Amino acid sequence: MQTLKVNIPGEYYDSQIYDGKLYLWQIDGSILTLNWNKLVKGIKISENLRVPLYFALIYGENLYSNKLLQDSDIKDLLLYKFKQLSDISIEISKQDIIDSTISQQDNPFPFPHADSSIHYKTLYVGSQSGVSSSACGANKKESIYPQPEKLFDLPVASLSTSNLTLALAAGHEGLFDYSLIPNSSNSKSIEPRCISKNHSNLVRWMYASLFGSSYFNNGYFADFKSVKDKSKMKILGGATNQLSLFENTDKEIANIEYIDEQKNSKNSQRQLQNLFPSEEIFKVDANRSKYRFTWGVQDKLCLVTENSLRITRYIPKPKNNEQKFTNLDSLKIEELNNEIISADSSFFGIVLEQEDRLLVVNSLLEKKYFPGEPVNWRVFSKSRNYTNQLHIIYDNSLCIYSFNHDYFVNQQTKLVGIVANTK
Amino acid sequence: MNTEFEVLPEIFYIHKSDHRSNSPDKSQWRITPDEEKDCFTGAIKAKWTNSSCGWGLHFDDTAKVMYVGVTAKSNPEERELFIAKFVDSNENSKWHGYPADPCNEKQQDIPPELILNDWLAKKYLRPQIVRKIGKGQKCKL
Repeated sequence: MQTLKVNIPGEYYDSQIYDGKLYLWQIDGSILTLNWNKLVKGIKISENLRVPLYFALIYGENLYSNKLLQDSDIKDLLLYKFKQLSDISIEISKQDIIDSTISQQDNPFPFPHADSSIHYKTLYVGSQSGVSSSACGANKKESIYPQPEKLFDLPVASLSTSNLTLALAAGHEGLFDYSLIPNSSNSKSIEPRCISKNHSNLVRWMYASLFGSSYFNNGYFADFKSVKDKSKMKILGGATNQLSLFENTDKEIANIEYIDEQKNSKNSQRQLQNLFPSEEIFKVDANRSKYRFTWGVQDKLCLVTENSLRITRYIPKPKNNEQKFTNLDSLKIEELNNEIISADSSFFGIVLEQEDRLLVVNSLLEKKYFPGEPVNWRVFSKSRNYTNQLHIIYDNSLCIYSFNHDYFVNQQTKLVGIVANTK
Repeated sequence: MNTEFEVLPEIFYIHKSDHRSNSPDKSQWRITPDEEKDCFTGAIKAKWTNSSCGWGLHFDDTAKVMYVGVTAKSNPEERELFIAKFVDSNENSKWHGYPADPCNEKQQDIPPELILNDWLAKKYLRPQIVRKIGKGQKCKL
């Protein structure tokens, strides 16, 4: 399996990468913001590998739809160069970190948190004490606005942002969502909306729908339908109010993005249609089958048992003869000899966390183990340019793995990993 | 039989027998009653308590955190537990405790961030464990 590894020394708890900046929660309670583009551009590497390095670490999105890759000579050359890159392990020095530091500030959020996410230049942090948000990326002295807004008290184990909505796994309280679009009184929702009271400790988006994973049930799919809501067309700016506290013009960028998303979503409102238990989707008997873990991201639902990975494709708007759920092949994974702690998916493949290691199964169906119990890890399937990255935090460093095989994989036929839009 | 001790001036600790009697629905202590009491007084001294709820850790002679008990028999799987939860429901300084399971279905046994942060800062628990506790994930020492 070809991966490029970038090792950043330090003691970290969590990481986020967004809009050219790398946010690092340090164990000592501070947040370090690095200029990621500057850090990458400062990496000493052979000049003939510089362009693929930039694609691997900064401009990930560009390759999925790049027409140049339809030329087999260019494609082969880029594949060759990615292969060369994968033989290199890049060590970032402490001086490199200092040189690319934008800010280091006290962490204004509850810490240690359960989960974090960045959506439209706003950082959301969830923990036992609820969810708070703060604008990020705009100020040079403090990259994260130092006075977060407490959104609500619901204790959360996992959160995920999309469609100007927070999806929330709240343990025994169930699965929730929370609209970030201001209502007619120009204020955000007061409380999260309960979607299911079934236990959930991991939530992921599947287009406008959600999948809640749990140790205590087999997971469930919350099927949402988007319907047009003209009332939202008039309301703008509320979600970015905090940005007005910053000095520079990034506020305008955020507002433009915000308007774009409203246009893109055609001012739609998500309406819950149904809840599907995963037994129904995977067509298995919950009592007979010994499940390990189920989860779903975008177009694929996954079920891991003791020795296999089963995958089902989800089509949000099936046409004519299509079905909403189609069971695809199973993949044997015989080495799964202990339990699954968590899992996630991105375009490059899936990641399974076990007690003392991570397992990646990529979209070429290759397997790679990353030994050692991680402090934390995450993929960025909702990001624009970093969908190929896996961040693994160990005791003394953050390892960023860049997977660059999936640009060359047939997206329509691939079994493992989210399907990328190649149009 | 529940027994009550004054462990600090006007602070009482009650050993609840159902957490030592193999009661199927109750997590079970594996440390001695004296160690349980010490765990509670340690929590009070470390200020890991508020008016009605507290959290404790049990240390060995080298200040290493040790397991305090196991999950209830009714739990789908037996796991060792290393956090003690103490409660004073009536807020009358009469406390009792039990081995807490942050990964249980109700997630009532996840300590608040302030406590976890203290345990992290003092290196009592590895950050891997702290992350898993906060997410309600299965974890071991």
